[in-house]
Amino acid sequence: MNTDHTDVLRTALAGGGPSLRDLGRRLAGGSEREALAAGAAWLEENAPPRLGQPFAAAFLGWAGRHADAVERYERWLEDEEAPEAWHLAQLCRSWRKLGDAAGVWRTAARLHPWDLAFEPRQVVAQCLKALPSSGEGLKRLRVAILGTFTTTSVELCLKVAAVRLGLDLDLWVADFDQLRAQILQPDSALYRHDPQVVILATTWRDLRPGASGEGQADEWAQLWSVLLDRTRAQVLQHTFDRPVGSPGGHLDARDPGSLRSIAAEVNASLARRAPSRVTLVDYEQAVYRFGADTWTDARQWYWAKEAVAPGAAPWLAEEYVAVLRALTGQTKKMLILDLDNTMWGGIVGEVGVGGLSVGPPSVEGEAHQALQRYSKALAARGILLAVCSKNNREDALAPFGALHDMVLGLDDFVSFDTGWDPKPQRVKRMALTLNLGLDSFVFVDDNPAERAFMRRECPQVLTIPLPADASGYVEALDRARAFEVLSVSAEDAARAASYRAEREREDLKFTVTDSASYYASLEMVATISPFVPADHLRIVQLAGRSNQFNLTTWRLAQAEVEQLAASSAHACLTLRLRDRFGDYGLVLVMVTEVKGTCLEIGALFMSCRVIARSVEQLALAEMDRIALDRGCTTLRGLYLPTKKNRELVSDLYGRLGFERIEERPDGSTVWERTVDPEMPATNPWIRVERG
Amino acid sequence: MNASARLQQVFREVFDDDEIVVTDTTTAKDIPDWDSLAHISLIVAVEGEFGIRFLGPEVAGLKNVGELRQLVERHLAR
Repeated sequence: MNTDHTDVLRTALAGGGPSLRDLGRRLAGGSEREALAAGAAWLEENAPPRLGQPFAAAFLGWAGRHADAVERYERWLEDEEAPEAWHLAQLCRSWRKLGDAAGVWRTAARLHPWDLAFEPRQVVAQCLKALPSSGEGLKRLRVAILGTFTTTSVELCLKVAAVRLGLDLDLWVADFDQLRAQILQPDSALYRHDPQVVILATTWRDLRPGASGEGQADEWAQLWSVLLDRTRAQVLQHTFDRPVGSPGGHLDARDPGSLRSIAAEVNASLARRAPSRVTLVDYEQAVYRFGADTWTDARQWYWAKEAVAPGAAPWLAEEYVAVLRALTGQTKKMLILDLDNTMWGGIVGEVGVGGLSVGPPSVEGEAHQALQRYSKALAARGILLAVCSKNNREDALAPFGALHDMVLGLDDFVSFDTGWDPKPQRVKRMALTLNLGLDSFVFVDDNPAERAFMRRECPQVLTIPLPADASGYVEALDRARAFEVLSVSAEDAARAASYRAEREREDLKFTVTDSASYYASLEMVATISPFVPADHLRIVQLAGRSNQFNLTTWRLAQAEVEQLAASSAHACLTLRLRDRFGDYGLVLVMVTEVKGTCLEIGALFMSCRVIARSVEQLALAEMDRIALDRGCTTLRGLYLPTKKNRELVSDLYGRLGFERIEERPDGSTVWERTVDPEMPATNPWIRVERG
Repeated sequence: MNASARLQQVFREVFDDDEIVVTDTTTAKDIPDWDSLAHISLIVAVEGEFGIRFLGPEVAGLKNVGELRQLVERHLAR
C-alpha cells in the first residue's frame, strides 16, 4: 500500500477528507483490489478495533475476498451490541457473493431498531431477493398491501424488518390506487392471494376536508367488513396523519372542517369501532416520531406518488413489526432490570441509600426515575417486572421504602434476585421458576460487560443496548417495541398479580455458566503498583467506602498509608483494572506484613464494580509472589466480620485455598495457606503490568 | 474517478449488478430492472453521489445515460 493511501486512510480515521466508506467505494469502483486488501491489512493494524475490524472486513469484501470478509465480520459481530446497519449490509453482500442463503438471512435478522438507516436495508433486500431462504427456522406469512400511494420503499423495509421476527413475508402488493377495486371485486387478485394479513396503507390525502369525520370513518368500516367477510385475514388499518402545513395555519386546530380535525375525528371513530380482527397501525405516530417535515419527499410524491420518503420507510416498517410481533405471539412478557445505575443513580453498596439519585433535583436522577415510570406503566399493562442485581440483599432492598422518589415498589416485582453469581445463570433460573421461555425476557442493565455476557450466554433474551447517558434509557428501551399486545384485558393485570403472589426463593442447583470463558472474554489488564504518594488519597477513599468486599474493614488514614508505604516490614500494593469496556481505575488495595516466615494480610479490600471477575485470584497470586520474594513460606489472612461483608467475603480465604486455623469468640477467623514455590498461584485471565 | 466512472458505480449499486457497463448511449431499454421506480432510486442515488439536486423538469426529459452525465457535469460546474 503506497503512502498516499495510508495518509488518506489516516485522515479518514481522524474524520477529515473522504470517509472510509467513500474511499472504499472509490477503490471498489476502480477495481483496485490490491489497494483494498492492503488497506484492510493496514486498518487491522492501525485503526482502533471498533472501527478497524469492520472496515477491514468491508475493504476485503470490496476486494472480492468474501470468505475473509465474512470471517472478520462474524468475529466483530460477536461483540457488537448494536451493529451499524451499513456494516450488516456489507456482510450480507459478501454472504450473497458466496451463495450462502443462510448467512444472508441470518445477517438480515440482525438489523435492529437502534439504527434505522434506509440504504443498507435496500442492499439487504436485494440480497434476500437474490437468495431466497430455504425456509428453515422461518415462518412464512402471506401479507397483502393495499395502498393509496406507492409503497415500494415501505414494502422493502417491511420484508427486511420481518426477518428479525423469524418471518419470511410472501408479499402481494396491489397496483397503485387499486385499494377499493381489489376489496370490492369478489374474485380479485387480492382474494386469490389468500392473505393472512391485509395492510390498508392510507394517508391524510384519502380524507376529504369539510365532510363529516364520522361519515368518512363509516366508509372505511364498510371496506373492513367486506374484507373480513371474504378473507381470514387480520386487517391492519393505518391511522390517518395530517398535512404538514395548510392555509388555515394555527386555526386548523379549532376548525372542525380542517383536515387536521377530520383526521383526529376519523381516527377516534375507527378506534371505537375496530373489531378484534382489525388492528390500527399507528401511521400517524410513525410520522410524528420520524418527523413530519421530512416524512414525505415532495419531489418523490409528484414523480411517483411515494408518500413515504425512503429515509422514513424503516420507521413505518417498525410500526408494522410491532403489530406483527403481537400477531405472531412473540410479545415479550417480562422486563428484567438491574438496580445500580439503572433503576437509580449510584451504587447503593458503596454510597448507601442517601448517596443515590432518583428523581429531582438531580438531572441523572430524573432520567432513572423516568425509566422506573415507564416500567411501572408496563406493569400496569400486565408485563412482568423482575430485578437481577449484584448486591447484598439488604443493600438492594434498602432504597425501596426509604427513598422518597422511587416509583417502583417491591410489590411490583415477580422476582427480586440479588447475589453475586453470574446473571445469565440467574436469569435461566428465573425462567424455570416462572415457567417462561428465555425468549420472552427483556434485559436492561447499564453495565456493557453484563449485557455482553447475557447476549453471549442467553442469546434468546432481548438485551437492550443502553447508551452511556441515562437520559437515553427510556428511548432505547422503547425502540424495541417489545411489549405491545393486541389488546389489554383485565386478565393480564391479574396474571401479573398471581405471579407476584407465587414469588419464592429457592436453592435450585444449576450448571454453572462457564465463568472462565466470561473472564477471558473481558480481556482484563491489571496494573499493580506499590503505594505511591499520588494514590494515597484514593487509597484512603477506597478504604473508607469499601464495605462489602473488605476483609478487615481497616479504615486506613492518610498518615497510616504514608507509614505503611515507608515501612520495610510491609509490602503494600494497589491494583488498577481495565477491560474491553473501560477503565475502572484503582479498585483493590492490599496491605501485607512480613512476620518471620509468615506473610500476614492485614488489609484486603476491593471496589464493588469489579466483583466476580477473578480479581481476588490475582490478589492471591500477588500474595504468593510477595511471600516468595520475602522468604515467607506461609500466608496468613484475617477476616473480621461485619454486617456488610459477611455475605461476600466470610469464606473468601476458604475459596482461595486457605485453611481455617482459628475462630475467635467475636466471630473473626484466621486462615493459613502454605506457599508452594514450585506452583505459585496465578490468574490466567488477567494480564498484569507493573506500575 | 471521472463522472462516467462514478455514474457506472452508482448504476452497479442501484441495480445490484457488478457486471453492468453503461455508456453514453445506454437507455432504460438496455437494463431489465430499470422501471419508473428504479428510475427514482437512480436519480436519488446520483444526487447523493455527486452532492447535487436536480429539478423535476431536468430529469423528466432525459433520453439516455449520456444526457444524464451531461446534466451531472452541468450541476458540478455551478
